[in-house]
Amino acid sequence: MNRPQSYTIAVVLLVLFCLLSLLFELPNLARGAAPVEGAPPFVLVVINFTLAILGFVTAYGAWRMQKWGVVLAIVVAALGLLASLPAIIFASPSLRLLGGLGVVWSAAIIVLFLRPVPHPVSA
Amino acid sequence: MTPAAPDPGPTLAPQLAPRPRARRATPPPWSEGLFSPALRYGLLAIYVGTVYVIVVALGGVSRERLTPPWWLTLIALLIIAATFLPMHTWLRVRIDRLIYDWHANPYAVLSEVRQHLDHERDQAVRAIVPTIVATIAATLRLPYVAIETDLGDGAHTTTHGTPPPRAELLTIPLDYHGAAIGALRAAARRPGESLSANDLRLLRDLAGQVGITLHAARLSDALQVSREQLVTAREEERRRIRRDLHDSLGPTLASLRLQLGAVRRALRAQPETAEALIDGLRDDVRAATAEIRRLVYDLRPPLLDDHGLDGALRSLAAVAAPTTLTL
Repeated sequence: MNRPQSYTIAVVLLVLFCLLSLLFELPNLARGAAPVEGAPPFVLVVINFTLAILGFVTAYGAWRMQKWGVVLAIVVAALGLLASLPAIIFASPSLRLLGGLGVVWSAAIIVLFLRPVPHPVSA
Repeated sequence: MTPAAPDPGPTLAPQLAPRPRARRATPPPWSEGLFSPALRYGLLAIYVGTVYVIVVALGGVSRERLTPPWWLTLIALLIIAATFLPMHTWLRVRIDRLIYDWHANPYAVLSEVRQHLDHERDQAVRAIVPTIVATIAATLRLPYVAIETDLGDGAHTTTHGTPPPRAELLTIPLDYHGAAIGALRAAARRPGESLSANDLRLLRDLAGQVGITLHAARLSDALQVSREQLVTAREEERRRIRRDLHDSLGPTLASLRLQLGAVRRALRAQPETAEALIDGLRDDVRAATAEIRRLVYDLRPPLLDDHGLDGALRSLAAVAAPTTLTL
C-alpha cells in the first residue's frame, strides 16, 4: 500500500496523542466526578478519554487509507484541539503548557491529513 | 504503465459483461454535499476560537484575570480577519479533495482529459489508448484504469496501475452511436471501497469522450490503411505496364527494326524478297498496333466510362458466362 508520508506521520502523532491522553486521563477518570483542586473538570476528562479511544479506531482506518478513517481522524483531532483549548486559559500553569502542547499537536495532525498527496493513492 | 497486452479472452464481448460490484462503502452524494461544508466550517470555527484564545492567552489572560484588554481583542480579530479567507480557501480545496475523491470540480477534470485527447487526436489507436488510460488515472487519481478495445489485430487490454485488493472494479462500455468499441475499467481508490456517485458520473461522461476519440482514431487508422493500399495498387499497376511494354511491345519494335534493315539490303538486288518482307512488316506493325490498343484498353477500359464499375463488371461477367467449368 502506497501511503503518503504525511499520513504516516499524522497517524503516528494521533496514536501518541491518544496514548498520552489515556495515560493522563485514566487517573482522573479513576478519581471520579468529585471536584479536585487543580484537576480538569470530570466532563472534560470523560470527553478526552472517549476521544482517545475513538482516536485509536480512526488511526486504524487512516493507516489503512480508508476515507472514513482520515475524515474521522480529522474530526477527532479537531475535538481534541477543542478539548485542550480551555486549558490554555483556565488550567494551572503546568496544565496550561500541556494544553498548549495538545493544541499544537492536534493542529499538526489536521494539517498533515489535509496536506496535498502528490501521487495517486494506490494499493 | 503496462504495455498493451494480448487479451486473454477469445472475443471482446465476454469482457464487457458487468462484474459483481463490491460492497458500497462511500456515502451517497447528498451526504457528501453536506459533509464537506460542515467539516470545513467546523474546522474554521475551531480555528477562529483557537486563534483568539492563543492571542489573549499570550496577552496575559488567565483564570486569575479573565477579561482581556480591548486592544488584545482587536489584535486577535485583525489576525482572524487577515487569515480567514486564505484559511477558508485552503480548507475548501483540501476537504473537497478528501471528500469528493480529488475532483470537486468535474468540469475541470473533463476539460483536462479533453485537452489531452485533443492533443493526441492525430495519433493512431495503438498510441492513443495508453495516453487515455494514463490521463484518466492521473486526473481522477485512480489506482487502476484499463481500456479494452480492438486495436486492429484483435482485442487488447491496456492497463495503468494495479487495483487495490477488494476494491470495486467498475466496467463501463465504450460505444459510438450504439456500436461497441470496447470497455473502460476503473478500480476504487482504496482497499474494500467502491467508487462514489461522483466518480460514476464522471467516468460515464469520460467514457463518452473516449468512445468518440477511439472511433475517430480507428477511422484515421482505416484511412491510413486505405491510402497505403492505394499507393500499393498504383505501384503494382506501374509494374504491370512496365512488364507489358518490356515483354511484348519492346521485342516487336526490335524485330521491326531488324526487318527494316533486311528490306533495305534486299530492296535493289532482290525486289521480290523485299516485297515479301514488307508484307511481313505490315502484319507485324498491325500486331504491334493491336498490342498498344490492348495496353491502352487495360489502363482504362471504355466500359468503365460508358457504364460505370457495376456495368463494366456485368459486361465482363456476360462475356465470361459461356465459360463453364465442370468438375
